[in-house]
Amino acid sequence: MKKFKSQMSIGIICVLLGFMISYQFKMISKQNLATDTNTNTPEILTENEELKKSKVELQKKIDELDAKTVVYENDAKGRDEKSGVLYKELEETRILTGGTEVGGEGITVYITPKNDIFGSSAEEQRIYDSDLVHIVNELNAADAEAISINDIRLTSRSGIRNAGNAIIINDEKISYSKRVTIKAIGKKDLLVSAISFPGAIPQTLNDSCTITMEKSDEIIIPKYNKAYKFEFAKPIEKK
Amino acid sequence: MVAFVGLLIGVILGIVWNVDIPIKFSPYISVAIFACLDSVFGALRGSVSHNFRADIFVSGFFGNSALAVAMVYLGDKLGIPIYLAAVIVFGGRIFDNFAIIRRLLIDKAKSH
Repeated sequence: MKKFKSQMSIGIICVLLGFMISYQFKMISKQNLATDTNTNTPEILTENEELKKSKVELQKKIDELDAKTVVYENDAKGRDEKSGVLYKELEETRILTGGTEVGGEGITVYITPKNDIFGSSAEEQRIYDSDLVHIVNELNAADAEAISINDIRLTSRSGIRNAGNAIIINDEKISYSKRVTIKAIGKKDLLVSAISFPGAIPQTLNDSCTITMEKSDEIIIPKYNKAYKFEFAKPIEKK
Repeated sequence: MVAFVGLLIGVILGIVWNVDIPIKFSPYISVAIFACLDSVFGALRGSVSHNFRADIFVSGFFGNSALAVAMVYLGDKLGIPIYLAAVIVFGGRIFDNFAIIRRLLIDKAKSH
């Protein structure tokens, strides 16, 4: 009887221990998820979810409207020679302003933060806005025709800057402690040599991150999703 | 045997059962787990050296975890990380116990 009792107590305690351990594991992984999006309170979390949902819906609407414009354009360009030329020009301007998805040969640069053995500083800033600006500048200087960072298209009006605990590009956040992917379309050999030239990548970034690059013949860069608005700049008419 | 079955049931319970413990208790549970692990290692050592007593195990299990949780709470209120003391002591004891278990098991294996 006594043996049975002690066995039972051990069993119950093991149930407790197992429960606590697995529960804690679950909690910690949940917490990590929560800190990923830089939100800690459930309200912000749910709001974030809702906004994400509405973003997807709005994106769908944009895609629908885009499809409609494509139909109209195709209709218009077939009308006569003039509109065909106009259409071609429009396409080129679109590529320039980032208004259309583009593909072609180019390179992908991966900036992967090195793991800290002690893991305590997982949220430490590894990639700085200035590093990204520097790399983008190098790519631009090497005649890159289109550049994106984490699939955010860079345009002539994109800023890259630190804000809070993220880097903001075109009003979108990217984490500075996770892998950043820079894609560029252009002559791939030229781009690779530009990036691998000593000094092209800041030394501090080289210390804190591993940088790898990949040449590819088919790089796809998404379009810029916002509308341009010119409030102050007006074209000057020459007389 | 009972222990393994119990552990398995506990793990499954923890994964399946969605009981809501507030997140702010998370550090307490962490330290309590450590305390419990310490008593489990103590019990293992006891059973290997044939002086395991269930009452001591049970009281140690709950006592240790309660004390550890109390210490974390106190440290939280006083603003000093007392939980480090719990982690260091329990961690050290787990290693000690493990060393003794190892020795006993190897001796046993050799004597056969």
